[in-house]
Amino acid sequence: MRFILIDKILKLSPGKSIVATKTMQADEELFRDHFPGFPVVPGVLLTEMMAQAAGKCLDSEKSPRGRAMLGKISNATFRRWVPPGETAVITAEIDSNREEFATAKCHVEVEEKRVCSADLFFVFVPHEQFAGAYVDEVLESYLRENRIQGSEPGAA
Amino acid sequence: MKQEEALLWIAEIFEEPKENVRPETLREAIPGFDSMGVLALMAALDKDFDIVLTEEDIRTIIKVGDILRILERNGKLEAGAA
Repeated sequence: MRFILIDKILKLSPGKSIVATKTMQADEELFRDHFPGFPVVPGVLLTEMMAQAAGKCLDSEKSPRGRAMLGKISNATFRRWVPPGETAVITAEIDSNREEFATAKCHVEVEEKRVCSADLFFVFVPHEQFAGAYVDEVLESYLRENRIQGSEPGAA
Repeated sequence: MKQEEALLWIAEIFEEPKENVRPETLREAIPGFDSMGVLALMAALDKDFDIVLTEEDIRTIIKVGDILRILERNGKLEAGAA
């Protein structure tokens, strides 16, 4: 399984908010264990969906401060089961967005019902830490299609 | 805010039992007061009190009392409680 937990970005305001989707397929191997006969998307993956969505929102600013990485999870609540095949709609609102850190209020809905929420804290890791050829295809395709531009990474 | 309330607020940021957080407690004595803890403190000051910490402020924090003084200086702590 690739660790890409966002299929598509529906709405994006760089550095401010994002709405994205993810559908976990029933044939993913993890559902053999989580749980036998009762497959549901693990809460840690729902949390990662929120983190990846908020991270893309921050990264879309193309700031030289670096790439957003999850540092802390607060107030995580899981209200409903999410079976494979259901589309999770992930929303992240960036609360504070500073040079050193950012915070986001996030939630996931399935069929317009809230299934989980969390407050996430991000730090920034320099772009040089990552493979030079790395491209976030989900984010870049949204930016291309919607003609949203930012400054290049590393630009002052 | 009174001193005891401020100490509880600080203890929650660093995820430390409140009895371990006193004005004289040194930064090194609080495991959660690491680089991530500093960022969590900055975020909490910003969110809860609209206080934006400068690099100079961070350098001056040697013990918990220094955080109290930052709160006092910004009018968030009763005068003389730091």
